Amino acid sequence: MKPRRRPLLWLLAALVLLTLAALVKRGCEDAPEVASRPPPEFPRAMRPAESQRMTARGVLPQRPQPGHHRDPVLSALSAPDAGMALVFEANALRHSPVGELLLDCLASMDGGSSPLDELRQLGVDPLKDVDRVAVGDGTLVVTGDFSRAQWNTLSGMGSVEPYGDGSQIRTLVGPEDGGPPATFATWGDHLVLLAGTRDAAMAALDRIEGRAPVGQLLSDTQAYGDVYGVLNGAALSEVLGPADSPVATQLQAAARSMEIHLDATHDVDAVASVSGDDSTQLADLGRTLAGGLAAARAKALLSGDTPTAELLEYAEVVPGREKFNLEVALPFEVLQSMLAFCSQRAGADGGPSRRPNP
Amino acid sequence: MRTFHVAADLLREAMARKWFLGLGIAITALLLGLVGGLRLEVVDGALAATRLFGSLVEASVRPADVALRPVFVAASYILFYGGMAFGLLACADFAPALLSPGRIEHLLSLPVRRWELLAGTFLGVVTLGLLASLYGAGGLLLILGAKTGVWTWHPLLAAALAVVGFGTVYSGMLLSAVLVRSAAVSAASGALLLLMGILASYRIPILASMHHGPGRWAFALWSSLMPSLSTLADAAGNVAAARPVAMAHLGAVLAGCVLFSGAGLALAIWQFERKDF
Repeated sequence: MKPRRRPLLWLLAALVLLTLAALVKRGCEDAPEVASRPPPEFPRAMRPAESQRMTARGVLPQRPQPGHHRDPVLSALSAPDAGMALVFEANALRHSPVGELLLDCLASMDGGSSPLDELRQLGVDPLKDVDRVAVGDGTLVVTGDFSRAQWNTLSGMGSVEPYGDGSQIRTLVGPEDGGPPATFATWGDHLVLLAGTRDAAMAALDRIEGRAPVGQLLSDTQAYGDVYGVLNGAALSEVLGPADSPVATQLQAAARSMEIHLDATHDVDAVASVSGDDSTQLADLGRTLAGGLAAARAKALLSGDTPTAELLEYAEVVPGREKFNLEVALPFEVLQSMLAFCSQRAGADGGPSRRPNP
Repeated sequence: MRTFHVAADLLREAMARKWFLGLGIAITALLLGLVGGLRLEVVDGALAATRLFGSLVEASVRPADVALRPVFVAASYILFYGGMAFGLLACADFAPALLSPGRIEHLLSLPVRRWELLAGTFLGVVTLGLLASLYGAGGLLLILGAKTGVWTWHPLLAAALAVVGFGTVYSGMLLSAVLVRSAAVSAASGALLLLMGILASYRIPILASMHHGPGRWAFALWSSLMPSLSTLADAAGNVAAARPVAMAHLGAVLAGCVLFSGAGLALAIWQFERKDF
């Protein structure tokens, strides 16, 4: 007996399946395809906003060197024999997720008056008035709006001495151990610097005002990221500290100079460009560091630390001629967990609690 | 059970064809070329350099599994689109041959239902695609695994997703073969369905650029019925690269493709049931 055919059932089934397919499709159209976080934005070159920022910061000294509009901070740090210049974009960092996290942490701390309060009494609000903080060889440079500052009220401040076109120099009272007194100098209402010696302060002001040659340790085109700088020779060895591990020893031996750029817009993304004279040593160092990053990622995967593992996927060593670039990212979530004790304390006190920005 | 017999018969028929012998030889030759030509330098789990036939392809040092991701993604797209293009050419003749005069009468005289014949043909073709995809992806995994120590099963899963995509196209080819018994028309309808599936994957941006009116309404309706083949290809690429895929999205795309395949097969069976031979 031949089975009875029921073609209309198949048509009905087809229509039902097609309708379901359309409904499922419409339902998933808004869903994200990939559940991972966006890739880190490594500061590999100057971006348009940073270029505009740099252009706006350039000043033409009254006695300029030929064709030089220069950022006064870079001029102050760039002595011809300088070995170190590191600039922190304090205002950008303060408004970054990491900066907000650190400020919340600071706010949750107990205790008496903080250094920030002491500065506020001088007429400088570090959270509003400070734009940049830079560190050089024995020199600290701070820029911002200091028009309300009353430097004379600062304890240990000596007499005021005008210098150059628009600067003032104050010699601070020397330390109790008899060492040389530090020198505090201002350039207009926008820049203050603290130097180890009076000569160093005068030399920095001379470079800012165009009376002395400026070295090229850190050029305008290298001023990108939220933290940027260059460490050379002895300064690099000093920062790296004692070579107490195989990698540190290798780094001390191979690296001649290191340029650093760090972006804190979302996570903390850093690029370190390491230069040296021996390309073989550099290549070996690059491979060692990359192996270390691969091992760190494997460890993060095994421990279930997904944010770290995801961001370490983008960590790499990019070899070049007589240098290599090391790119690493630190996830916001990791920093948040490192500072979790602050939010717990803030929660207990009814204080602020920070959530990561998307 | 009889469906599986029909599928097995189709696989035997495919093995006798030169198309599939050629496919097997081509995949094997490609894999052997990679064995000989690809040199990967791995140091402490990081891929330090990649050379293909002696030329430096990649110099940056990254974790080996991360550095291999672009290779797996590329292989996934080749499997998806290349496999589909090959499949719609090589498999276009199966259904018309099944329905050819003399053979179909013989088949219908056997104790097998009509729907089992078509379902078995569909199952056989999909199995054929799955075997070829797994052979290609598996071979690539073995070669890269042996050279780098990175062993991952994700590209195999991506290969399976590619077969799901091919299933949607083949269901349309089967329907066209039942309507018009022609291998050329069957292949052309498969190609058309592939193009429409690619277009339907980008329906949202396309709709956003269209003016309101009957044309936009018709496109919205039509594109909501088509399978999102490009979206599935992208999802297969993400799976191959071991990126954390949003399971809700992948599940919905897969379900849409499977339901569309089922609808195409049901329509083909509906037409087949109405025919007199």
